[in-house]
Amino acid sequence: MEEILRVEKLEKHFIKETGFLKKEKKVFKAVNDVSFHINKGETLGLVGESGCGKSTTGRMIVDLIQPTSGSIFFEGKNIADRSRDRKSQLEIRKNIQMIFQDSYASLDPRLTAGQAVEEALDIHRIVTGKKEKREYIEKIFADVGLQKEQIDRYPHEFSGGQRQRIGIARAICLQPKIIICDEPVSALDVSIQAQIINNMEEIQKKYGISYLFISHDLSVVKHISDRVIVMYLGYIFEEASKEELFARPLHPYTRALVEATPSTNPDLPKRNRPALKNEIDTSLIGVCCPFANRCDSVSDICWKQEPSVTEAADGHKVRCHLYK
Amino acid sequence: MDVKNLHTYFYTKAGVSKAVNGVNFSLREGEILGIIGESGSGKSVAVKSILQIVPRPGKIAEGQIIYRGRDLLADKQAIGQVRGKDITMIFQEPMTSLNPVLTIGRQLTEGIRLHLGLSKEEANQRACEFLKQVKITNPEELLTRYPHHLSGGMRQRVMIAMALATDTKILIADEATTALDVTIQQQIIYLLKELRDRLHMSIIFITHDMGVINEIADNTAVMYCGKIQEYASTYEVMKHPRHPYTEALLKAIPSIDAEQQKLSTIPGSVPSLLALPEGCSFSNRCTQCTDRCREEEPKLIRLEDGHRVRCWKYDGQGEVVDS
Amino acid sequence: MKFLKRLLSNKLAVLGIFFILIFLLASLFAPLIATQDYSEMDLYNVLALPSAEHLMGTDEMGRDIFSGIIYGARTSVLIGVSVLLFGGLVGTAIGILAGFFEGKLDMVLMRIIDTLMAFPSILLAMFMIAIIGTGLKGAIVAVSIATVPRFARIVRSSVLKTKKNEYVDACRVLGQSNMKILFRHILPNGMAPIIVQATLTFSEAILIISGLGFLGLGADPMSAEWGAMLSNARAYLMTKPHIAIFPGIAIAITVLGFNLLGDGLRDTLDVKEY
Repeated sequence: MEEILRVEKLEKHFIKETGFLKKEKKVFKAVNDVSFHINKGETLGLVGESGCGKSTTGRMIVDLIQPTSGSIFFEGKNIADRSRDRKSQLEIRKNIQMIFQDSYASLDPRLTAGQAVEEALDIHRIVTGKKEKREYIEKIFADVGLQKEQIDRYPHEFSGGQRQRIGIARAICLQPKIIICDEPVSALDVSIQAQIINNMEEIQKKYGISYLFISHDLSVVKHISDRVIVMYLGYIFEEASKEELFARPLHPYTRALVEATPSTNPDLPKRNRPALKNEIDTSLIGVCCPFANRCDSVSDICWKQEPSVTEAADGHKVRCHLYK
Repeated sequence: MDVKNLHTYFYTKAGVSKAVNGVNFSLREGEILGIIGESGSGKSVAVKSILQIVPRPGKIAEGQIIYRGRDLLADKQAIGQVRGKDITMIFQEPMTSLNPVLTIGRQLTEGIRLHLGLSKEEANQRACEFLKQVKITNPEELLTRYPHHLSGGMRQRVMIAMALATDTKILIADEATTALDVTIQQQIIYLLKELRDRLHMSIIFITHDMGVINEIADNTAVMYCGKIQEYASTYEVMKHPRHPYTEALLKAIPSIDAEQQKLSTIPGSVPSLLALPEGCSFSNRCTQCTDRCREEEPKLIRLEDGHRVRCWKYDGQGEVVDS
Repeated sequence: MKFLKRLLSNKLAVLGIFFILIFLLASLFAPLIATQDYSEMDLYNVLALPSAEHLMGTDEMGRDIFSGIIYGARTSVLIGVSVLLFGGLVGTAIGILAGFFEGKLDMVLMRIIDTLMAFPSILLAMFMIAIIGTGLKGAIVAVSIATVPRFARIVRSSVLKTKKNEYVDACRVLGQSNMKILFRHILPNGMAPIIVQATLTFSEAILIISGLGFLGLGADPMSAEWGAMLSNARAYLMTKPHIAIFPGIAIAITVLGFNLLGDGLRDTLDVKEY
């Protein structure tokens, strides 16, 4: 499989100056030692709960946030290096796009749906000429399931699902190689969610786009992904193909996440206690395994040392002292 | 509690929006009733009507809400005595229910001191007991904290503790776990179930998440366009859904324990509550729609096994229970 | 436009617009409405009460007060527009730089603004006038400088707020340049508080300069300017109050008109469209 994006040892530290006269500096390590790759045409699911750093990771890849350290290689070139000229920056932008969670907030309310897409075309000069642009936008709209009459409507005239389609149209009109999808269906009703997910899969097949699908919903990630990464408090805890991850989840957190995800199967026996106790403890970051206070397989070493990544099986990586 | 023929409408400049359009259900002591629906189904407005906190321009147009022999809608005095005590509600965003400038302790003990006339120390002790009941490990410390120090899960526990403090008989949870992480959501679900087991508290749980309903509710009511379309035990609804909408909804959900090639979708979109169709409100999207469905609205009927459904497919198979 | 409909349903705003229209019409058609040139002195009719010939009477030099009021409207428009242009534009530019780029630039600019803001506008204006000299031009410059901080603050906070919108992020991801993001997305969406401030500044400028004129620090006492007219009337307040009343009412109505419009705009623009 051809690799198209590689992230190596990505870190993001947020520094907050607190205290009187801003003398104290509190560092919050949002993303720690994150490394993964995405292949051409595949969907890599990035799943985790709040505070795990998945959104921050996605935003670093599209250059909305600068990494504190680490590299991001796109087609072999390190794009985290910002000392490039505008032309090459634009070229990279064209190839790595993003779909946002809040379809209403991510559209300028003063622009029509067509104008939102047109802006993308104008920046990169993909298509020029009024007629040609219009035709191109109509074609893209058809791809996402919108009608050409809707090109001149404003965001507030659309439903949530339709607005998300506009966002997708804007992302794919540049013919990018990768799209970072930041919780694209989390804010939608179930019936609409299904439509959008199906549509995204169709588009992927048609244009060969890779997706980094970020979500907190394990069921959705399971459905759409080829491979999956599980994050917790800024660390990648497990990485595997979809089939492997759900057939043989290695990390205790992954297992807990699977158990905690509600199922509509009425015949599944109900547990008598929740899968995970306590809550996230950010003070453990950088000190020991950040999951120590909640893990049901915890042992002494977990409280003393940070675990490192081991490859348990082909392509199946896990960060846990159990698998040293 | 018995809710009979509840109608709550929003009188807007654009017309009358029939958010709740004839809802009937009953709640037994110690029962967890799940109400499921997508946005616009009326589930939130229905329970807000119970507590009579429907925002303007909404108004309860008709109906009866019988609690302990009194109709809360007819008896003007009743709701004041019941709201916040016998019947309490927790919301999706607990941050807005908690006063950001008061400590947790202050907010918890306010009610206790008011109703029981206890001193500050005694009230704090009581508050700690309630906090322990919601599985908070060091309640004394929590009393001194402010809401913004707490995580979402903790805040919901505090809200539940407040309900316990007033000896709530019916707890209404309106999307109470929707904004929480899935592992925290599970903790809260288990907590609620445990409280129900121990205290025989009744719970009405509103959500759009079928999976959560399956985990927590004894019985389930499926709402669509202001009406209950299906109402049965949760097991029956999940295992043998009768209404086409319920079937479609279950098929559209990606499952954590099954493999689906392509997700089933529901064609079309929800009709506007300002202009509901003549017949069945699901007719424009139903794959099994007949002419009769488009012309006449089906009534809720009770099938032999107690399963209630509002659909012409089952015409003649049971007696009408709509009022 | 829904916005206009909502604004016009606010009765006070409509009243404000009505006052402003009178004011603008007077200034626009001054030569047609005024009965005579303000500099004409009818020395036989000094300090006369309102009559058919002199609708609002005459002042101590026999000048027609009505004409003075009408031409004074022109001066007031000049004042409002000038202050908006100089003070408003400079303040807006500073606000944009501070809000858009943040960081050290923001800190430096805001400290300057804070210093300016520490002075009440009139004091600041008087200080400026002491340096620049009296006269309408000086007064306008002084008030413009005093207006800069308020605009800078409001524009900065509007830019900061609008910048946080996710569609700004979306544009960045598309590769849009900073300038285009600022002028095509941030400013148009953040206009509301700026417009409100502009209407309020217009009237505030007129009020302050009238006040300065009253103190003798503003416009030439001989010119048709409401504050100057008030200043002249001071000596005759007890005996011939009409000389002061008319300019006073003119100032009051104009300032009230803009304030009501400004409030109405703020209320209308605040309500989010669903």
